[in-house]
Amino acid sequence: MEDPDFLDSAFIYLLAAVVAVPLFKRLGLGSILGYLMAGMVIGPWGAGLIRDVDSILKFSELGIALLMFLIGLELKPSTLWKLRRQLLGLGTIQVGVSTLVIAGLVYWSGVPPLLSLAVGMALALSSTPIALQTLEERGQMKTDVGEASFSVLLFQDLSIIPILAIVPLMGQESSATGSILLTELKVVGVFVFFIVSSRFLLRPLFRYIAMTGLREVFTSFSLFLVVGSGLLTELAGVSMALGTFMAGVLLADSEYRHELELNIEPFKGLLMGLFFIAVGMSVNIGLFLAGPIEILLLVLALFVAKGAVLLVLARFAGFTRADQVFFALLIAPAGEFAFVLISILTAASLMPEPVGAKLLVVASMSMLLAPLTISARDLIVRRMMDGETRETDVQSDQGHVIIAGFGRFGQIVGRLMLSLKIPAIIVDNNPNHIDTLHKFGFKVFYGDITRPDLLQAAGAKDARLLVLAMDDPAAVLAAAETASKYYPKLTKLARASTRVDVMNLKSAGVAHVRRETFGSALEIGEAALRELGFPAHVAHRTAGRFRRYDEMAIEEAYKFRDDEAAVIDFAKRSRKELENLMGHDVATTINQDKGW
Amino acid sequence: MKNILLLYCHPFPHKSRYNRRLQEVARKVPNVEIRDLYELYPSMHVNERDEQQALRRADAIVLQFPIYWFSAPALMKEWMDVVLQDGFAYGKGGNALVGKKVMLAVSTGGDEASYRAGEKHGADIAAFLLPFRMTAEFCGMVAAEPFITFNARNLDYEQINECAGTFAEHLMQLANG
Repeated sequence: MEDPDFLDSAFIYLLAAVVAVPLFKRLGLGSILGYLMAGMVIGPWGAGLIRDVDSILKFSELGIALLMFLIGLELKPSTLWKLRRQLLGLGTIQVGVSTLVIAGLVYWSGVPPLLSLAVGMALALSSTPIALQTLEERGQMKTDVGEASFSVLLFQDLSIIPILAIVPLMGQESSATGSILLTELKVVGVFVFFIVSSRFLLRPLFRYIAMTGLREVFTSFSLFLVVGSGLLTELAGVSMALGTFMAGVLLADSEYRHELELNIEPFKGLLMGLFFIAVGMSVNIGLFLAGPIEILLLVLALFVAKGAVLLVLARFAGFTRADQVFFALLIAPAGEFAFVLISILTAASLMPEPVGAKLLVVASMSMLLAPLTISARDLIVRRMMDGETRETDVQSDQGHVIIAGFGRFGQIVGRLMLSLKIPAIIVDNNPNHIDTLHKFGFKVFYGDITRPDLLQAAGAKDARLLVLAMDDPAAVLAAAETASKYYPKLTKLARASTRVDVMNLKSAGVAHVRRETFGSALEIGEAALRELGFPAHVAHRTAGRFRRYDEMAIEEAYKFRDDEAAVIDFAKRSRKELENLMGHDVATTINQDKGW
Repeated sequence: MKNILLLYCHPFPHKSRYNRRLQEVARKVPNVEIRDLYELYPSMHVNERDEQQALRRADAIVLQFPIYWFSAPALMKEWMDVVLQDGFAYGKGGNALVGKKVMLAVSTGGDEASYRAGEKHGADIAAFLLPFRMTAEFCGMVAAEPFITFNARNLDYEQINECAGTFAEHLMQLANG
C-alpha cells in the first residue's frame, strides 16, 4: 500500500464491501461470501483494481488477531479448562487423521512421501475466520457445535507451532527437536509474562488510562494491547492469533472486559472484512479457468476427505444429523494457513512452483465454496424440517440482572442480588469505585451504560432486568432512553433524584422508579412517629399511607408536566389535599377509643 | 413456678382500653414474658427464630387478641404460619411444644347473646376459636379453657378492672399449675 494509492484503495475496498455485503446478506448467503465475491471482482484476476494482494492479506491478518482476542475475552481460563478434553480429543484426531488421509491421497497420486505429508498438514487445517465468523453471525458460538468447532480450531492454531518448526527442516537431515524445544521455551516465557503482567501491570494501567476519561486513548490502548501481545508471540515463533487469544483469555476476568470488547469490535469487523476481501482477491481465476474440472474435483476430494473424518467425530460427539453436516462443512475447507505453508514450501523449493500454485487455487476455492455449501445445507435442513420444529439451537445466556452504577445506592441492590446468587453484571464508570470494590471482592466492569454498545456487551438482549443506580440523574435518564430504544422489552428499574426525574423516567418506559432519598427519609419519619407515641404498627401503616398519597400526587402532577403554572398550582392544592387525607385517617384510626 | 409466654396481638392497641388494661395487669404477674407482636413486627415480618426460642423457654402460652371478622388479626395467623414449622411444632422431630398449655384470651365487639345460632354472629364463640384449638392440639399442646370477654368495647372502667383481675388470676393459675 503506497501512500498516494492508500485512499484510492481504501475507497475501493469500502465501496466493494458496501455494495456486495448487504446484497449477499439479503440473498441469505451470509456476509462472508459477499466479501469474498467483492474481493474477486476488484482483485488482480477480476477488474484488477488492486494488485498488491499479499501485503493486504498480511495486514488484514490483524483482523484475525482481533477476532481471537475477542473470543478469548469471552472465555475465562476456567471455561477454557473445561474445554480441554474436546480440545485435545477432537483436535488431535481431526488434525492427525485428516493430515494422514490427505497425505495418503496425495502420495497415491505419485508425490514423494515427505512432500505428501507437508501438503496433508497444509490442507488439514481450516479457516478459523470463516468458521468463527459464520458461527458468530448465526449466534451459535455457545452451542455444542460452536464449542466443538472452536476447540478444533484452537487446537489447529496450537499445532501450527510444531508444523512450522518441522516443515523447513524437511529438506535437511538435521533433527528438529532442538528448535521446537527452543520455540516452546520462548512461548512459555511469553505466556508467563502475559499472566504476570495481566495481574500486576495491566490493572493499574487501565485505571490510569480510564481516569483520563478520554475514550480515544482507551481505544488506542486497547488496540496497542492486542497488537503488542500479537507481536510478542510472533517474536516467540507462534502465530499472532494464538497470542492475542491468550491475552484475551487472561483479560476475561478483568473489569475492563466490556469496554475492551466495545473498542475492538468495530476494528475487528472492518479488518475481518478486509481479510475476506483479500482471500477473494487471491483466488487465481486464470489458473482455475485453465482446468476448472480438475480444480473442482480436487476441492471435492478435499471436502470429502476432511468431511468424512469430521462426520465420524461429530457422530461420536453426539450431534444431530443436521449438526453433524454443519460441523463438517464448517471445518472442512482449507484455511489461510495453507497459503502460508505452501508459500514456505515453494520458497524453499521443496515444492514445484506449478503444484504450489494449483494447491493455492484449491485452498482458496474451498474457502470460497464453504459459505455456499453451508447455505445449501441450511436450505436442505429447512426443507426437511419444514416448520415441524422451530430452530432451537440459539442458546441465550441465562437471564441475568444488569446493575449500572455501583455506588452507595447500587451496592445495596447488588448485594441483595448477589446474596441470592442471582447472576448479575455490574457496570460502573468510576475507576476509583471499581478499585475499592475489588478489594471487597466484587466483580465490577468499567463502562458507560448510556452507550448502546455497552448495553449490548453487558448482554442486554438476554438480561432479565436493568437496574439504573448511577449518581447522575441525567445519565440515568439517558441510559433509560437508550435502553428503551434498543431493548424495548427489557424491564428497567431506576433511581430518581427529584419528583421531576420520576416523571421523566416513567415516560422513558422505566417500570419501577424510586426516589433515592424518599424511602430512608420516610423511615426516619416513621421512627419519629414511634417516638411521639404512635404504636409501631400504626406508625408503619401511616408512613405507608403517606407514601401512597405522595406517589399518587406525582402521577397526578405528571399530567401537568408541560405547564409550569399548573404544576405549581397543583403542588399547592395537593399539599392541602394530603393534609386533609392524613388528617381524616388520623381521626378515624388513631384518635378513636372505641375498639375492643 | 412455670414460665408463661404471653403473645399480645393487637393492631390498634390505642383503640382498646380493655386490652391495654389487661396488658398493664399482666406485666405485674411474675414469670410472664410478654411479646407484643405488632410492636415487634410493624411490617409483619415475623422473626421465626426469636419466636421459636421464646416458645421453647415457656411452659404455658397465652394468646391475647381481639376477634376481628370471626378470627384473629392478620399478624396472629402470620405468626402461626411462620413460627409453627415442620420439624419444630409438628412432623419429624417437631416436638418443641408437646405437653405445653395454651390459653386463648380474646375479646369481642359483639355481646354474648349475638354468638348463638340464628343470631348476628351465627354460632357459639367456640366455633370461631376451633382453628386455634386444633392448631394447639395438632402440635401436641394442651388447650386450657379460653378467657373470653364479650362486648369489650362497651365495658365501663370498673368492669374492665374486674376483667383484668380475673385475667391475672388465670395467669397465676397457669404459673402455679
